[in-house]
Amino acid sequence: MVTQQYRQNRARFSHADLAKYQGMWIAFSSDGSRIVASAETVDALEDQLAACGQNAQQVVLEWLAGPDDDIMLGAGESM
Amino acid sequence: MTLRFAYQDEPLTGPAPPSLSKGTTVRWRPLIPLTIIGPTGITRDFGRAVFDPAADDTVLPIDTALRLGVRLLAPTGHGVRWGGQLHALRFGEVDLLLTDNFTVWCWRAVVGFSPAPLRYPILGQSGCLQFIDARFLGANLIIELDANRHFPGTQT
Repeated sequence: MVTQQYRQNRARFSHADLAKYQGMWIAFSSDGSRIVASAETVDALEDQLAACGQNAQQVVLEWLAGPDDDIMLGAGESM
Repeated sequence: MTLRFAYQDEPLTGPAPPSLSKGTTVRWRPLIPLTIIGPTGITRDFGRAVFDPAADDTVLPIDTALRLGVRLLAPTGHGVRWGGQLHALRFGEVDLLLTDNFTVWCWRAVVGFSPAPLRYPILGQSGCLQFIDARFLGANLIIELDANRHFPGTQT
């Protein structure tokens, strides 16, 4: 479950901090204070977590918008 | 027991389009935290799932289904077109959990799983919005959710 502590710590990451992760999936620690892993797909991210012995149930997964994602059209994009 | 979530921001990577105020540096989107619970209790927390009233189904990454041990229903021939490419859509039952850290909602739903490169888990009509009355407060950048009479789960 995403906690209040997570929200507070996650909000402290500046956009500059996260710039190198644009267009990628990130695993944040459950308290939101650090980035545990990053990858281009959820599956690859899970593999990375497993490889470093990190329990995937103890992280929060997020995708960060990339350079081509300044305008999103919701479900329309899936048509 | 209303759930309230602030919209979450995504930085613009280029100049703001003319539809935004000059100097705008972020997009605000109705993204909310989502926990998915598989049949054996294994969970995945997503920090940003998108509330999308135009989406017919709730769709999650198929890799997540496999990791959670979701028993996928037999292929039904349904698919989603994403980025111009058709991707299979499989269905399975999971528990979905939403919380604003004051109130917790949890319900069981049949949702779609796809190998399409989803940017966010999609909370669409079937499996999610059918159970919820949502208000998008555009001025305040807040989404408010109330369970409707069809909500099948628990609120604590």
